[in-house]
Amino acid sequence: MKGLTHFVMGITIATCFPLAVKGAVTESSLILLLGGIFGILPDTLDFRLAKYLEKHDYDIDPDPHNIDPTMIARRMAEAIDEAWHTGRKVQIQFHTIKMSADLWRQYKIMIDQDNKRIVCKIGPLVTTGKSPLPETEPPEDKAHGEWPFKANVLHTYDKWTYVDIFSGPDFAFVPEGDHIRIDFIPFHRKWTHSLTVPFLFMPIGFLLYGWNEMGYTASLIILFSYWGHVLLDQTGMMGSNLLPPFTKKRTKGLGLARSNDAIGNFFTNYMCGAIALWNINYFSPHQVLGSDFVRWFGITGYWPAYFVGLANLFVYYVIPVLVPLYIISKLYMKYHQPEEGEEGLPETATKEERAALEMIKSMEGYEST
Amino acid sequence: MIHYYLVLLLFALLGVVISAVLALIPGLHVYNVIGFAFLAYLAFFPWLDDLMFAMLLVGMLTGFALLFTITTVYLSAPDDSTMFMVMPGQKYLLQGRGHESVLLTGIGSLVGIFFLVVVLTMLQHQIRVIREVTQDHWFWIIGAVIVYILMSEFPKDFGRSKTTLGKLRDAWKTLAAGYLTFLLSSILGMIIFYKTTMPIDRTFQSLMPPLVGMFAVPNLLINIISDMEIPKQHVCKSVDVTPEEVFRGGGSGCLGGIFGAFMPAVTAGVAGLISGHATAQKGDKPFIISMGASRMVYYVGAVMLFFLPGLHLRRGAIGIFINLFFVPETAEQYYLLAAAVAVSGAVAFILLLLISRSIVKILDRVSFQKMSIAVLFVIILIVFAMGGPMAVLTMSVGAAIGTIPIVFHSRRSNCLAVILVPIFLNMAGIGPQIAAWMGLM
Repeated sequence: MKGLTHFVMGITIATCFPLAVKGAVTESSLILLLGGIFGILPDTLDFRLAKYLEKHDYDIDPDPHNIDPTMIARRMAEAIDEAWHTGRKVQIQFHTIKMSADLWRQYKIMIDQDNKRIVCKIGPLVTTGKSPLPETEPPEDKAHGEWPFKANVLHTYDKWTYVDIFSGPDFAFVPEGDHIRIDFIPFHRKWTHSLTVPFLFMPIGFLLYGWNEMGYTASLIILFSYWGHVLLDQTGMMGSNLLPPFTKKRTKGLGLARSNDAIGNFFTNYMCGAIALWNINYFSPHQVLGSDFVRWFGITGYWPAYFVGLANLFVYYVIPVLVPLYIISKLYMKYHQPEEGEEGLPETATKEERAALEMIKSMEGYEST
Repeated sequence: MIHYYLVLLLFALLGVVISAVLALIPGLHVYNVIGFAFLAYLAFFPWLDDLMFAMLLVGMLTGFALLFTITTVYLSAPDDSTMFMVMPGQKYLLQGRGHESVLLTGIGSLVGIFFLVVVLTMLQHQIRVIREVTQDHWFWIIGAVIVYILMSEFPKDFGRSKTTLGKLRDAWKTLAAGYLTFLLSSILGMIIFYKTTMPIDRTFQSLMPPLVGMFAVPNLLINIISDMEIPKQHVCKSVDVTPEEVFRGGGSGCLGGIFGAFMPAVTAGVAGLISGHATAQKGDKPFIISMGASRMVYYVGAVMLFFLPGLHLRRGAIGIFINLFFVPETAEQYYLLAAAVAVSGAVAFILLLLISRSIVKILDRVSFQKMSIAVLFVIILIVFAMGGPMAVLTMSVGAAIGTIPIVFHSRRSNCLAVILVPIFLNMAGIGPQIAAWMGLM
């Protein structure tokens, strides 16, 4: 999901703690912000730190004025075979080709595991918004290159990887049994996106608020908002390494939504907003929305009244908004076939290529504006 | 009674016509004009019906929200609410599609008007409840916006350095520039809030010099230095945009705009950015549409929230100014306002198309560099007229800060700390202590 969605979810989790909400109202406490901070922290750590700690054995940095697709394919094939022959992990970084302040030369790489070859195609010039400029593709003989490799590979992501704007992707080739496992952007969703790491951050809560109930609440906010991020990311295409140091590999995601999926992000944000609103109403010293109606059903307990009120909010304000929107969007997608050339790809792009672009976007998982 | 209503609508339309002239002057914000209009009203037209004058201001505001697009797209002189539009707007201009960019923004504004007149009116009860529930929490919500701005920017360029430290240094260059911008903007904001640089009778214009300096001047300087020439502009008769793009851009802009109109300190630009992230917006066209919608809902939504029966939320200078001479009391006045916004918006949209076509003809004849110099000169003149040499100095400081993100490719939204930080600190109750610590009190 988008960074903001994780941020909002973190704050929503923080509002589930009555003491934090009361503290915000009565003491102008900023404790709820901890939810937002630790909700977005895993991506912040990945894209501001972990990414730059990676060591690459191969750096592919094509000459903007003389791009050689065969060289790109050959270097990648060599990297795979090096991992195969030496039995050690090999990492490769593909750099983007910046042509001017807002123009980039796009190229794409395919790992053809059936035919054991790497294919590289040089694409058009694209803007930073990934819109291709017409008639900027190089001639076919200069646009295509390929190189064979010997290893057996296991590549579980889309065939094509696009390299176009800002920083390019990297791969890790990891020897595993009788094959080489290919990890796409290997720095992402490793230790930072785990359920174990936030335990290390929990003492921050006590440091900020002391060894008392408030400190305990702050620590739990840190833990749960971080977990919220990790669990929400499991709905995507790529999971994460959930329990390091006990586990080493990233899991596969559930594939329910992609990080740049408008519906998924909007639904999550809307639901979080509704829950946060209910929480800050219910846990505030002065409730605006009463829950007297709950007592009509004989429910008098604090938490039962909370949950019945929350359910009521869903019945009146969440389901009537999200269900029709979901149906409309599904119908729209069913009857609206995207025209060729949309989504910032050349008009010749296939559906598979589009899926690959979506994949890259989902892997990046952050905003660049 | 019907005659009275018609006169009210005529006043709103008069406001649109006035804004059509004033919105073309770069650097001049509608709130500056409204401030002086209010002084003129007290001095020369005290006999005028209060609601009529309020409608005049609403017409000006609606017109300005639409027509300021012209100076943003063609003259690269944005304000805090249109700062994000400069990049795609200028890109379109350099492709000879400036008019198309203006049209897309106009479409976004129309979506915004529809949202205000229809959707907001239908959600009156819910908005009142949300206000009551959240009003004790606004300070930390502003804090959350600040934290999000600071934490969500990621390095944009991957350096070629071979060492880890070298890579980190390359990556953190843009982030460090962003944090520096945020820090300097915050300090400038505190100074302006606690020691205004404007003459005592014009303190309501305090924010104008730094905002003009941060958002309008840097673009103009870049235009002048780079000696950029723009190609012949194509005046399109229709615009290539799908209903989905209009829905996504407009919806996102309306969400952002109403968030900005509802929350103190959060302006249209940053609210639009946040809502764009919330709805996973992508592509230039939905982005431009969303900025048009966000700006319209932000400015005009502030007045409508003020007129909303049982709410009377005062946001932005417009609510404060109107509240000085008029207190809305009835639902009838709210519906009159909604009608005035709808009619003003429709007329302003037509004016937008006509003015854009005329500007394109002028652009074809005048050098863009010379025009940027002239615009910069006009801006300095206006700021000087508003607040004298101190205001020009404040604008220069703002310009220096606003140039950092352009040079280092960091986010311009960091500049908005000039408003966000002082208001957040004050609402959290620690503003005066920090001002005292800074030697401002």
